[in-house]
Amino acid sequence: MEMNYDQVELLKELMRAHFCAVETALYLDTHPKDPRALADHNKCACRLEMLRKQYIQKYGALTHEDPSVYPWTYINGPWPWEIKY
Amino acid sequence: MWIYEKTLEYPANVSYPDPRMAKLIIEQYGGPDGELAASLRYLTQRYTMPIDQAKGLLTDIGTEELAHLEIVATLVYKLMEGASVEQLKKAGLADYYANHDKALFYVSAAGNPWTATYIQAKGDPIADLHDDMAAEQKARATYENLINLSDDPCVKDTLRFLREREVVHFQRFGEALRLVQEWKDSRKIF
Ligand SMILES: [Fe+2]
Repeated sequence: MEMNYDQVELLKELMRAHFCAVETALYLDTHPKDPRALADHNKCACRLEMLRKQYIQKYGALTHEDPSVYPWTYINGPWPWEIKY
Repeated sequence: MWIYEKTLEYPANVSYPDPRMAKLIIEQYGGPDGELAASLRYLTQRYTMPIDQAKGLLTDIGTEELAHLEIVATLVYKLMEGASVEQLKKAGLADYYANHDKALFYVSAAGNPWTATYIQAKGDPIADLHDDMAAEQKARATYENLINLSDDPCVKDTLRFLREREVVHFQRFGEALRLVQEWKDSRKIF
């Protein structure tokens, strides 16, 4: 149930990309016409999409909407609260 | 709708089991200024926000608070993991253990169960956004108290991230308040 080093590192990179998208999104909610913030957000969104694809392909589904190889990978541990980051 | 993704918003590690700290951090799980209260407050206030910026912001911050709830839960879970009944008793968790064992439950550090009376929804966007700004400051202050109470650098790091987010949320709510005020003023003229 332990994650290997490479998986944890890719996961943390994905988490950072997620955070970047959250942060720019909140700012855009109150500044929808800020072109620089929007460009930053779109950069984050692209990177996030790329990292999600990469992670899912290597390690399995992150959400129950993701495609999965047999058998269903979504339930595979460790779950987020069980991981040593 | 919401979709669960198997990631935390920020890493949550502990250096060693510490049920005493778990008992304190649970304040931000089920306490009056905790993440459950924050999330449910914003998600229920969003329906009566008059402008799209405020609807979007309350939806997004309410959702981020759920991610924070999960981070807090992870800290509490890891701090309790591996602790013996003897250690739980020493940490003042005997009564908690009697009911919940090591399950996560929505209580404050003092053991009071979560209640909807912790939150408000007035239907008045000016009142609600002021309430939200105050809530963020109270959450920030609670995180500062928890940082002072911990001596685990891993736990402190995660608590610092959560404290930082309250400051950002306060800022965004202030902007939403200004936008709602401008919207109200523009309606008075026409
Ligand atoms: Fe917050």
